[in-house]
Amino acid sequence: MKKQKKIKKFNIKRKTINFFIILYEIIKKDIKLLIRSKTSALVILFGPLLIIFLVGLAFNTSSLYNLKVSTYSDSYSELTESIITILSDQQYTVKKAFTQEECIDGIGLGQHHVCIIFPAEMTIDNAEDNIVKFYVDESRTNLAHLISNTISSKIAQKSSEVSLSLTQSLVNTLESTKQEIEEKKTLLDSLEATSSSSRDSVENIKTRFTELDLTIDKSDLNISEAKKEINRLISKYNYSESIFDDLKSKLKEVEDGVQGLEDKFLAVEEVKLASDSDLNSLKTELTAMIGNINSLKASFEQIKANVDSIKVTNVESIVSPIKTTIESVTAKKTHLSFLFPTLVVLVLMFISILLSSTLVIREKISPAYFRNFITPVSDFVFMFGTYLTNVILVMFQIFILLIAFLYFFKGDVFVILLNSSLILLVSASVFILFGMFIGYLFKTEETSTLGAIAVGSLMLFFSNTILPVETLPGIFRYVSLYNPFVIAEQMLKKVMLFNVNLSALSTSFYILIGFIVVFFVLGLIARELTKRYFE
Amino acid sequence: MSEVINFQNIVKHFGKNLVLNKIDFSVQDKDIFGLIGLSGSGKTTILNIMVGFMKANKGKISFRGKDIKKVKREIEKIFGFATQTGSFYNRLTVRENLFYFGKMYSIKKHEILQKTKELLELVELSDASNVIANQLSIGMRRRLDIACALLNDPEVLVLDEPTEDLDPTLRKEILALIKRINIEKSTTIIVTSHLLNEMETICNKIAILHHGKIMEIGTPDNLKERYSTNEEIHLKTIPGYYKEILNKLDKKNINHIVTKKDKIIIYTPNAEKVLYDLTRILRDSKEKIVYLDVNKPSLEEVFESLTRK
Ligand SMILES: Nc1ncnc2c1ncn2[C@@H]1O[C@H](COP(=O)(O)OP(=O)(O)OP(=O)(O)O)[C@@H](O)[C@H]1O
Ligand SMILES: [Mg+2]
Repeated sequence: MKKQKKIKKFNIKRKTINFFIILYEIIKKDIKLLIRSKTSALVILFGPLLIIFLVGLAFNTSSLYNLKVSTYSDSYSELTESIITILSDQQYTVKKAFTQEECIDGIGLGQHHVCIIFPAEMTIDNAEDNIVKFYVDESRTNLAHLISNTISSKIAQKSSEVSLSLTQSLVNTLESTKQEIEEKKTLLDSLEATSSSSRDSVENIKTRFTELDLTIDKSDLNISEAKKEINRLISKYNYSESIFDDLKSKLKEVEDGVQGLEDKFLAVEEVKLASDSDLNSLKTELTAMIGNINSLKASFEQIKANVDSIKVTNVESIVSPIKTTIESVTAKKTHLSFLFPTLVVLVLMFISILLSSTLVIREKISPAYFRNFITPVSDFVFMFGTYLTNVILVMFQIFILLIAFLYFFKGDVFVILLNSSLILLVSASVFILFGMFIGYLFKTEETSTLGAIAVGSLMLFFSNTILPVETLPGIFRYVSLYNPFVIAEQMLKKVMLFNVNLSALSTSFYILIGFIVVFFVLGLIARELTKRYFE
Repeated sequence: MSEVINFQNIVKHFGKNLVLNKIDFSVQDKDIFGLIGLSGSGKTTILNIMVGFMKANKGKISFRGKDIKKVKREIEKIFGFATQTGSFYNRLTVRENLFYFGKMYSIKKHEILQKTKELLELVELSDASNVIANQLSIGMRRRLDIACALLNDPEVLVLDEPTEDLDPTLRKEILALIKRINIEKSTTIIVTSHLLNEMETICNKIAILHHGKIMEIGTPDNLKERYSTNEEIHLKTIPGYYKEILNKLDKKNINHIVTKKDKIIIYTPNAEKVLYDLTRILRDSKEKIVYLDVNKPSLEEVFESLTRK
């Protein structure tokens, strides 16, 4: 009993080893066969490289080449001309149409890709709103978008140039005003100084005036005393009065002179009084003027402070204070880097489906099919072997693609590479099993290839690559959400472009794994149903 | 002697084309069973149905008493099958093909190498062992396929027209090989051919397949005996209204009549009487004799008479 168990165990072990040996032999044989057919070996080795190279050439720039532009305006202004110059400085061929109709109709006739209608005499001033009209062929959606984007950006460039120069002059004026104020402020200062000193002088004059004593005390002169003394002398000494007549008249003259002086002094006093009030008013005026000068100075100061407080004087940052260049999430340089995940999944999808369906159908129509059929190896092993062969071949190609990836995305790529490889492996499995299923369904290589291409194209169509999914009618949009191509593409985008963690993508993984299971079962069923050629 | 394979009431049609119409026969242990039939008579179809590569529309095949579908894995291990067109990879060399299929039978590496050497000598392909199968001649391809069929030391070896396309020497050698395998390894062998004389020499049992039916079955001697009591009258006349002639003919002494486009063959134990009768009828119906021959049939002629139109 024990011995039997042991034997059983041993047998199971041998069976699993055998399973792997057989798998290994199947894969070895498949790859040998493929390599011996030189064309398929070439396709497998260089197919993805070639595709990447070609697509790279095609998309490796964000602008369009050889774009034919037609313009029309009732009258071209200097501004429109300069826009046209900018456009023709680029890779665009610009032609002026004679009429608006010619310009617009030319798109339909394929004479040019885009028609731009400028308003007549377009200038930059406040009154006008300058509307530049674009006409593009909407049926070529991608082209239309690309064209309007590129040309809008070119015109936006011009319009921002214009506002740039406008703002520049504004800023310049401000700057010169500031300088002017700076300069004239010293003038004000000196004016204030002179005014103050003038006021001081006025003050001095006024004090000096007030200090001026013009009062005359006539009593000090005592002319009457002198007269009395003369009279006393006359009476005492009985001098003849005539002797003193001369003196008396002289005294009289003095007296008169004093009187006249007094009168004059009185007049001066009056003048003094009048001058004093004048000086007073002069002083107040001067004070007021100084006040004015000060307030002028203050407002100059304020102006200067205000001008100074405009921190941004770089004109470009005034014109577009927030710059919107689309970058920084990835270190991408070209359109291609953005497109790369889509491209990888696209190549992956077509190669996987085509390769696996071809491998299956070749095996099926190979004369050796019969001998494999009668050997004691189960369908499952053969199918698994074919699947593994495909995985190996596709992974080899992905390896090549990822080397290309390394070229485009420099930096911390290792984790991205690891994560992307996992995504690629899982999605490759979906496509491979899908392709195998197709291979089992068809009877000839031609039909299966057609089937594979049709399926690939369908998946491509119901994805964002040709039309935005959002533009599809409801049911298709819903279906396209479960399109393995879309799922794989979005996963890869998230990982490659935005460095999203794999754990965030688990739902997508589950969906893909679901697909793997479904297609494997479908494949087994199809293989079972079709292996007997003729029922 | 026990029964290895038993066909019961096998019917197979491809669309409207009825290929096998109620086939019944059995193969005994250690038989060399010859299945003889013209091209398109359904020999390959029978073999394909036997190994499960095609499905019969009706009927049952049993292997040692068990339904053959239920013992499929077992059969796969002990059957060897040399196909008519060669079933191997055209882009692998002779040696690589043998190695690959050896592995599919889970044979160990050194055993495969040993076996490969033996088999290549056996089918005389040693010199071509490293040639890509694509570049082999038709005869070489056939020999490679036989080698493939022998890889797993089969208990039952199926050979679909193994001598077709071979030169006479090789033909003899292959026939000798079949015989030897049968004797040395007690292998049951089912072999098809459209050449009866070849089969005569090696088979111990022969079935003649025609129009979807087994016309005759038995040992070569059996078959000969069955027809040797008869004489064969070949008759060709002008204008040749054979139907009317036969209508007037007295059927009492006639075993079997084969009508062809321009002649009739009559099998009879009493040729004299039939001839007498015939000449009268011919004279009456104003038929002119172009060709008349009376002889004893060989097995080949039995076969031809059974199968030619
Ligand atoms: N896969 C098929 N599909 C349709 N018809 C078939 C198929 N295989 C065979 N047949 C038809 O069945 C009949 C018998 O074919 P089969 O190959 O069994 O003949 P065969 O006796 O082996 O002839 P040969 O001696 O030429 O090998 C033929 O009429 C053929 O047309
Ligand atoms: Mg045949």
